[in-house]
Amino acid sequence: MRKYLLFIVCLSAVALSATAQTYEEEKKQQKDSAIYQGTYLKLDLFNPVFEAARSKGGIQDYELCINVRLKQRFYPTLELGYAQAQDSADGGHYDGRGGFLRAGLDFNGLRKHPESPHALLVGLRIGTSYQGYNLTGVIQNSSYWEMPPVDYTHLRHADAWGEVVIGCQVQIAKGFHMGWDARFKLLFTRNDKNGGPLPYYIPGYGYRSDTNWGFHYYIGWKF
Amino acid sequence: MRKAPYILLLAALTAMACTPETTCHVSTESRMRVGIVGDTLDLEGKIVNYALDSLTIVGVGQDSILFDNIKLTKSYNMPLRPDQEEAAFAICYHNYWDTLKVTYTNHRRFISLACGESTAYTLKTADVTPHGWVDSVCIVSTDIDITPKENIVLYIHGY
Repeated sequence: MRKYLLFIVCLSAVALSATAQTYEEEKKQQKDSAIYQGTYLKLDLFNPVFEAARSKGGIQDYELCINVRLKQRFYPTLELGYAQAQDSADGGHYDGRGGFLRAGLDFNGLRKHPESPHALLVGLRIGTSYQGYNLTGVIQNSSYWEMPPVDYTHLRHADAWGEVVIGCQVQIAKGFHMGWDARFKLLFTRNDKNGGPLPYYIPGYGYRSDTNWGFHYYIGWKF
Repeated sequence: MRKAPYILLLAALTAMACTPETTCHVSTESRMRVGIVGDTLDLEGKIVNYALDSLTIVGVGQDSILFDNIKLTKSYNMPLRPDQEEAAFAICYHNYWDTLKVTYTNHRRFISLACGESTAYTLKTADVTPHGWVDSVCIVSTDIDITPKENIVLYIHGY
Protein backbone atom coordinates (compact mmCIF):
# COMPACT_ATOMS: atom_id res chain seq x y z
CA MET A 1 0.00 0.00 0.00
CA ARG A 2 2.87 2.39 0.94
CA LYS A 3 4.54 1.53 -2.32
CA TYR A 4 1.33 2.30 -4.15
CA LEU A 5 1.02 5.72 -2.43
CA LEU A 6 4.67 6.53 -3.21
CA PHE A 7 4.11 5.69 -6.87
CA ILE A 8 1.09 8.04 -7.01
CA VAL A 9 3.06 10.88 -5.38
CA CYS A 10 5.94 10.45 -7.83
CA LEU A 11 3.59 10.33 -10.78
CA SER A 12 1.84 13.49 -9.57
CA ALA A 13 5.18 15.25 -9.19
CA VAL A 14 6.17 14.27 -12.72
CA ALA A 15 2.77 15.37 -14.00
CA LEU A 16 3.03 18.68 -12.15
CA SER A 17 6.53 19.19 -13.47
CA ALA A 18 5.38 18.39 -16.98
CA THR A 19 2.45 20.75 -16.62
CA ALA A 20 4.71 23.51 -15.37
CA GLN A 21 7.09 22.90 -18.27
CA THR A 22 4.24 22.98 -20.79
CA TYR A 23 2.99 26.19 -19.22
CA GLU A 24 6.45 27.78 -19.52
CA GLU A 25 6.71 26.68 -23.14
CA GLU A 26 3.25 28.01 -23.89
CA LYS A 27 4.14 31.29 -22.22
CA LYS A 28 7.35 31.47 -24.25
CA GLN A 29 5.53 30.53 -27.43
CA GLN A 30 2.92 33.15 -26.71
CA LYS A 31 5.65 35.71 -26.30
CA ASP A 32 7.37 34.55 -29.49
CA SER A 33 4.16 34.46 -31.44
CA ALA A 34 3.24 38.03 -30.54
CA ILE A 35 2.46 39.88 -33.72
CA TYR A 36 4.93 42.74 -33.23
CA GLN A 37 8.44 41.66 -32.21
CA GLY A 38 10.57 44.71 -32.79
CA THR A 39 11.75 47.27 -35.34
CA TYR A 40 15.19 47.25 -36.94
CA LEU A 41 16.93 50.32 -38.32
CA LYS A 42 19.81 49.44 -40.66
CA LEU A 43 22.45 51.48 -42.45
CA ASP A 44 24.12 50.22 -45.63
CA LEU A 45 27.92 50.45 -45.47
CA PHE A 46 28.77 48.62 -48.68
CA ASN A 47 27.43 50.84 -51.45
CA PRO A 48 28.83 54.20 -50.29
CA VAL A 49 32.32 52.69 -50.27
CA PHE A 50 31.97 50.38 -53.27
CA GLU A 51 30.30 52.86 -55.63
CA ALA A 52 32.73 55.63 -54.69
CA ALA A 53 35.68 53.30 -55.34
CA ARG A 54 34.28 51.88 -58.57
CA SER A 55 33.36 55.24 -60.07
CA LYS A 56 36.35 57.11 -58.60
CA GLY A 57 34.04 59.36 -56.62
CA GLY A 58 31.56 59.89 -59.44
CA ILE A 59 28.75 58.05 -57.68
CA GLN A 60 27.53 58.49 -54.15
CA ASP A 61 24.86 56.19 -52.78
CA TYR A 62 23.40 56.31 -49.25
CA GLU A 63 20.71 54.05 -47.93
CA LEU A 64 18.69 53.36 -44.77
CA CYS A 65 16.48 50.35 -44.17
CA ILE A 66 13.68 49.91 -41.66
CA ASN A 67 12.06 46.54 -41.13
CA VAL A 68 9.65 45.16 -38.56
CA ARG A 69 9.60 41.60 -37.27
CA LEU A 70 6.11 40.12 -37.17
CA LYS A 71 5.23 36.68 -35.80
CA GLN A 72 8.86 35.46 -36.00
CA ARG A 73 8.60 34.96 -39.74
CA PHE A 74 7.67 38.13 -41.55
CA TYR A 75 9.69 41.32 -42.07
CA PRO A 76 7.85 44.12 -43.87
CA THR A 77 10.64 46.36 -45.12
CA LEU A 78 11.02 49.95 -46.22
CA GLU A 79 14.28 51.21 -47.73
CA LEU A 80 15.03 54.86 -48.36
CA GLY A 81 18.01 56.39 -50.05
CA TYR A 82 19.67 59.09 -52.05
CA ALA A 83 22.18 58.83 -54.88
CA GLN A 84 24.01 61.14 -57.21
CA ALA A 85 26.06 60.31 -60.26
CA GLN A 86 28.49 62.31 -62.34
CA ASP A 87 30.43 61.08 -65.32
CA SER A 88 32.27 62.41 -68.36
CA ALA A 89 33.37 60.84 -71.64
CA ASP A 90 34.26 62.17 -75.08
CA GLY A 91 33.20 65.71 -74.21
CA GLY A 92 29.85 64.59 -72.84
CA HIS A 93 28.95 65.15 -69.22
CA TYR A 94 26.24 63.56 -67.07
CA ASP A 95 25.00 64.88 -63.75
CA GLY A 96 22.02 63.25 -62.03
CA ARG A 97 20.71 63.09 -58.49
CA GLY A 98 17.59 61.86 -56.80
CA GLY A 99 15.93 59.79 -54.11
CA PHE A 100 14.57 56.28 -54.09
CA LEU A 101 12.21 54.13 -52.11
CA ARG A 102 11.82 50.37 -51.94
CA ALA A 103 9.05 48.51 -50.15
CA GLY A 104 8.64 44.80 -49.75
CA LEU A 105 8.39 41.78 -47.51
CA ASP A 106 11.06 39.35 -46.27
CA PHE A 107 10.38 35.88 -44.98
CA ASN A 108 12.53 34.28 -42.29
CA GLY A 109 13.71 30.94 -43.64
CA LEU A 110 15.06 29.56 -40.32
CA ARG A 111 12.74 26.59 -39.84
CA LYS A 112 14.09 24.97 -36.67
CA HIS A 113 14.52 28.08 -34.58
CA PRO A 114 12.29 30.84 -35.82
CA GLU A 115 12.42 32.38 -32.35
CA SER A 116 16.16 33.03 -32.82
CA PRO A 117 17.15 36.71 -33.11
CA HIS A 118 19.09 35.74 -36.26
CA ALA A 119 17.26 35.46 -39.54
CA LEU A 120 17.82 34.04 -42.99
CA LEU A 121 15.78 36.31 -45.21
CA VAL A 122 14.22 35.79 -48.62
CA GLY A 123 11.97 38.47 -50.03
CA LEU A 124 10.66 40.70 -52.76
CA ARG A 125 10.82 44.46 -53.30
CA ILE A 126 9.19 47.04 -55.45
CA GLY A 127 11.43 50.06 -55.99
CA THR A 128 10.89 53.49 -57.41
CA SER A 129 13.12 56.50 -57.88
CA TYR A 130 12.73 60.05 -59.03
CA GLN A 131 15.65 62.13 -60.18
CA GLY A 132 16.70 65.28 -61.99
CA TYR A 133 19.56 65.09 -64.47
CA ASN A 134 21.52 67.01 -67.08
CA LEU A 135 23.23 65.63 -70.15
CA THR A 136 25.52 68.03 -71.93
CA GLY A 137 27.82 67.70 -74.92
CA VAL A 138 26.04 64.61 -76.24
CA ILE A 139 27.42 63.42 -79.56
CA GLN A 140 24.95 63.13 -82.44
CA ASN A 141 26.35 60.42 -84.60
CA SER A 142 26.61 61.44 -88.22
CA SER A 143 29.67 60.70 -90.29
CA TYR A 144 28.60 63.10 -93.06
CA TRP A 145 26.34 65.89 -91.77
CA GLU A 146 27.97 68.37 -89.44
CA MET A 147 26.17 67.93 -86.15
CA PRO A 148 27.10 69.97 -83.08
CA PRO A 149 26.82 68.22 -79.70
CA VAL A 150 23.49 68.77 -77.95
CA ASP A 151 22.64 69.63 -74.36
CA TYR A 152 19.70 68.31 -72.38
CA THR A 153 19.17 70.14 -69.13
CA HIS A 154 16.64 70.12 -66.27
CA LEU A 155 15.33 66.69 -67.20
CA ARG A 156 13.21 64.70 -64.75
CA HIS A 157 12.54 61.00 -64.79
CA ALA A 158 10.90 58.36 -62.58
CA ASP A 159 11.83 54.69 -62.73
CA ALA A 160 10.35 51.54 -61.24
CA TRP A 161 11.75 48.07 -60.78
CA GLY A 162 11.33 44.80 -58.90
CA GLU A 163 13.86 42.86 -56.82
CA VAL A 164 14.35 39.37 -55.48
CA VAL A 165 16.38 39.49 -52.27
CA ILE A 166 18.26 36.88 -50.29
CA GLY A 167 20.28 37.69 -47.20
CA CYS A 168 20.68 37.35 -43.48
CA GLN A 169 20.80 39.39 -40.32
CA VAL A 170 22.63 38.29 -37.22
CA GLN A 171 22.53 39.63 -33.68
CA ILE A 172 26.09 40.50 -32.64
CA ALA A 173 25.26 41.95 -29.25
CA LYS A 174 21.98 42.73 -27.54
CA GLY A 175 20.11 44.92 -29.98
CA PHE A 176 23.07 45.30 -32.35
CA HIS A 177 22.78 43.50 -35.68
CA MET A 178 24.80 42.99 -38.84
CA GLY A 179 23.74 41.48 -42.12
CA TRP A 180 24.06 41.33 -45.85
CA ASP A 181 21.86 40.73 -48.82
CA ALA A 182 22.24 40.11 -52.54
CA ARG A 183 19.60 41.16 -55.04
CA PHE A 184 18.54 40.53 -58.59
CA LYS A 185 16.81 43.56 -60.10
CA LEU A 186 14.48 43.83 -63.06
CA LEU A 187 13.76 47.25 -64.54
CA PHE A 188 10.14 47.96 -65.51
CA THR A 189 10.58 51.44 -67.04
CA ARG A 190 12.76 50.65 -70.03
CA ASN A 191 11.52 53.25 -72.50
CA ASP A 192 10.68 56.90 -72.29
CA LYS A 193 7.27 57.83 -73.68
CA ASN A 194 8.62 61.18 -74.85
CA GLY A 195 11.63 59.63 -76.57
CA GLY A 196 14.11 61.76 -74.65
CA PRO A 197 17.46 60.60 -73.33
CA LEU A 198 17.03 58.42 -70.25
CA PRO A 199 19.11 58.74 -67.09
CA TYR A 200 22.44 57.05 -67.14
CA TYR A 201 22.28 55.92 -63.51
CA ILE A 202 19.15 55.08 -61.50
CA PRO A 203 19.28 55.79 -57.74
CA GLY A 204 18.65 52.56 -55.86
CA TYR A 205 18.96 50.46 -59.02
CA GLY A 206 22.39 51.18 -60.49
CA TYR A 207 23.53 51.73 -64.06
CA ARG A 208 20.60 51.64 -66.48
CA SER A 209 20.23 48.14 -67.80
CA ASP A 210 17.26 45.80 -68.15
CA THR A 211 18.55 43.70 -65.27
CA ASN A 212 21.01 44.44 -62.53
CA TRP A 213 22.56 43.02 -59.36
CA GLY A 214 22.91 44.60 -55.97
CA PHE A 215 24.63 43.90 -52.68
CA HIS A 216 24.29 45.47 -49.23
CA TYR A 217 26.16 45.10 -46.00
CA TYR A 218 24.26 46.47 -43.06
CA ILE A 219 24.79 47.40 -39.48
CA GLY A 220 21.61 47.89 -37.51
CA TRP A 221 19.92 48.37 -34.21
CA LYS A 222 16.76 46.77 -32.87
CA PHE A 223 14.26 48.95 -31.04
CA MET B 1 38.40 29.92 -46.86
CA ARG B 2 40.75 29.04 -49.72
CA LYS B 3 38.05 30.00 -52.16
CA ALA B 4 37.55 33.45 -50.66
CA PRO B 5 40.17 35.27 -52.84
CA TYR B 6 38.63 33.75 -55.99
CA ILE B 7 35.15 34.79 -54.93
CA LEU B 8 36.39 38.33 -54.25
CA LEU B 9 38.17 38.40 -57.62
CA LEU B 10 35.01 37.20 -59.37
CA ALA B 11 32.95 39.84 -57.58
CA ALA B 12 35.44 42.56 -58.60
CA LEU B 13 35.39 41.40 -62.23
CA THR B 14 31.59 41.33 -62.21
CA ALA B 15 31.52 44.85 -60.84
CA MET B 16 34.00 46.00 -63.48
CA ALA B 17 31.85 44.39 -66.16
CA CYS B 18 28.90 46.47 -64.98
CA THR B 19 30.81 49.73 -65.23
CA PRO B 20 30.05 51.69 -68.41
CA GLU B 21 32.83 51.87 -70.96
CA THR B 22 34.56 55.12 -71.75
CA THR B 23 35.02 54.33 -75.44
CA CYS B 24 32.27 53.40 -77.84
CA HIS B 25 32.42 50.00 -79.51
CA VAL B 26 28.95 49.82 -81.01
CA SER B 27 27.62 51.02 -84.32
CA THR B 28 25.48 54.08 -83.76
CA GLU B 29 24.74 55.58 -87.17
CA SER B 30 21.64 54.55 -89.09
CA ARG B 31 21.86 54.96 -92.85
CA MET B 32 19.21 54.90 -95.53
CA ARG B 33 20.08 52.27 -98.09
CA VAL B 34 19.23 53.28 -101.67
CA GLY B 35 19.27 50.73 -104.44
CA ILE B 36 19.61 51.77 -108.08
CA VAL B 37 17.92 49.61 -110.67
CA GLY B 38 19.38 50.16 -114.11
CA ASP B 39 17.71 47.30 -115.91
CA THR B 40 14.94 48.34 -118.24
CA LEU B 41 13.25 47.12 -121.39
CA ASP B 42 13.99 48.36 -124.87
CA LEU B 43 11.37 48.80 -127.59
CA GLU B 44 11.60 45.14 -128.46
CA GLY B 45 11.00 44.09 -124.86
CA LYS B 46 14.57 42.96 -124.22
CA ILE B 47 16.26 43.73 -120.90
CA VAL B 48 18.92 46.38 -121.21
CA ASN B 49 21.38 46.73 -118.37
CA TYR B 50 22.90 50.14 -117.73
CA ALA B 51 26.21 50.30 -115.99
CA LEU B 52 26.56 53.50 -113.98
CA ASP B 53 30.24 54.27 -113.94
CA SER B 54 30.57 57.75 -112.48
CA LEU B 55 27.96 58.36 -109.85
CA THR B 56 28.43 61.31 -107.51
CA ILE B 57 26.20 62.08 -104.53
CA VAL B 58 26.23 65.28 -102.49
CA GLY B 59 24.05 66.13 -99.51
CA VAL B 60 22.17 69.37 -100.23
CA GLY B 61 23.55 72.02 -97.89
CA GLN B 62 26.90 70.26 -97.43
CA ASP B 63 30.17 71.25 -99.05
CA SER B 64 31.70 67.82 -98.94
CA ILE B 65 30.87 65.03 -101.37
CA LEU B 66 29.31 61.86 -100.02
CA PHE B 67 30.22 59.58 -102.96
CA ASP B 68 32.62 60.86 -105.61
CA ASN B 69 32.62 59.27 -109.06
CA ILE B 70 32.06 55.77 -107.87
CA LYS B 71 31.08 52.88 -110.04
CA LEU B 72 27.78 51.14 -109.70
CA THR B 73 27.27 49.03 -106.71
CA LYS B 74 23.94 47.48 -105.86
CA SER B 75 23.13 50.08 -103.24
CA TYR B 76 24.37 53.20 -101.46
CA ASN B 77 24.12 53.95 -97.76
CA MET B 78 23.13 57.56 -97.23
CA PRO B 79 23.22 59.15 -93.77
CA LEU B 80 20.20 61.25 -92.79
CA ARG B 81 20.24 64.39 -90.67
CA PRO B 82 19.45 63.51 -87.02
CA ASP B 83 18.51 67.10 -86.20
CA GLN B 84 15.93 67.55 -88.97
CA GLU B 85 13.07 65.61 -90.50
CA GLU B 86 14.04 65.97 -94.13
CA ALA B 87 17.17 65.56 -96.20
CA ALA B 88 18.01 66.02 -99.87
CA PHE B 89 20.75 64.49 -101.98
CA ALA B 90 21.92 65.73 -105.36
CA ILE B 91 22.88 62.75 -107.50
CA CYS B 92 24.96 63.26 -110.63
CA TYR B 93 25.42 60.80 -113.44
CA HIS B 94 27.30 61.93 -116.58
CA ASN B 95 26.56 65.58 -115.77
CA TYR B 96 22.83 64.93 -115.37
CA TRP B 97 21.71 66.02 -111.95
CA ASP B 98 18.74 64.70 -110.02
CA THR B 99 17.70 65.50 -106.48
CA LEU B 100 16.34 62.87 -104.14
CA LYS B 101 14.36 64.38 -101.30
CA VAL B 102 13.13 62.34 -98.33
CA THR B 103 11.06 63.23 -95.30
CA TYR B 104 11.08 61.16 -92.14
CA THR B 105 10.48 61.14 -88.43
CA ASN B 106 13.47 60.55 -86.20
CA HIS B 107 13.66 58.53 -83.01
CA ARG B 108 16.63 59.51 -80.91
CA ARG B 109 18.04 57.18 -78.32
CA PHE B 110 20.78 58.04 -75.88
CA ILE B 111 23.22 55.14 -75.64
CA SER B 112 26.01 56.34 -73.39
CA LEU B 113 28.30 59.30 -72.91
CA ALA B 114 30.97 57.63 -75.02
CA CYS B 115 28.61 56.60 -77.81
CA GLY B 116 26.30 59.61 -77.72
CA GLU B 117 22.94 59.30 -79.42
CA SER B 118 21.78 56.87 -82.02
CA THR B 119 18.91 57.93 -84.24
CA ALA B 120 16.51 55.60 -85.99
CA TYR B 121 14.18 56.96 -88.67
CA THR B 122 10.81 56.21 -90.20
CA LEU B 123 10.55 57.23 -93.83
CA LYS B 124 7.45 59.21 -94.75
CA THR B 125 7.97 60.31 -98.36
CA ALA B 126 10.58 60.06 -101.10
CA ASP B 127 10.53 62.20 -104.23
CA VAL B 128 12.90 62.81 -107.07
CA THR B 129 13.12 65.71 -109.54
CA PRO B 130 11.44 64.58 -112.76
CA HIS B 131 13.92 66.03 -115.25
CA GLY B 132 17.04 63.93 -114.87
CA TRP B 133 18.13 60.39 -115.39
CA VAL B 134 16.06 58.92 -112.56
CA ASP B 135 12.68 57.71 -113.74
CA SER B 136 10.93 57.03 -110.45
CA VAL B 137 11.48 56.23 -106.79
CA CYS B 138 9.89 53.63 -104.60
CA ILE B 139 9.97 53.16 -100.83
CA VAL B 140 10.64 49.53 -100.03
CA SER B 141 11.02 49.72 -96.25
CA THR B 142 10.19 52.70 -94.03
CA ASP B 143 12.29 51.64 -91.04
CA ILE B 144 15.86 52.89 -90.99
CA ASP B 145 18.10 51.71 -88.19
CA ILE B 146 21.60 50.36 -87.73
CA THR B 147 20.58 47.05 -89.33
CA PRO B 148 21.21 47.53 -93.04
CA LYS B 149 18.30 46.85 -95.36
CA GLU B 150 17.13 48.42 -98.59
CA ASN B 151 14.82 51.35 -97.98
CA ILE B 152 14.48 53.05 -101.35
CA VAL B 153 14.86 51.96 -104.96
CA LEU B 154 15.65 54.43 -107.76
CA TYR B 155 14.58 53.29 -111.22
CA ILE B 156 16.62 54.91 -113.96
CA HIS B 157 15.88 55.80 -117.60
CA GLY B 158 17.69 54.49 -120.59
CA TYR B 159 19.32 57.09 -122.84
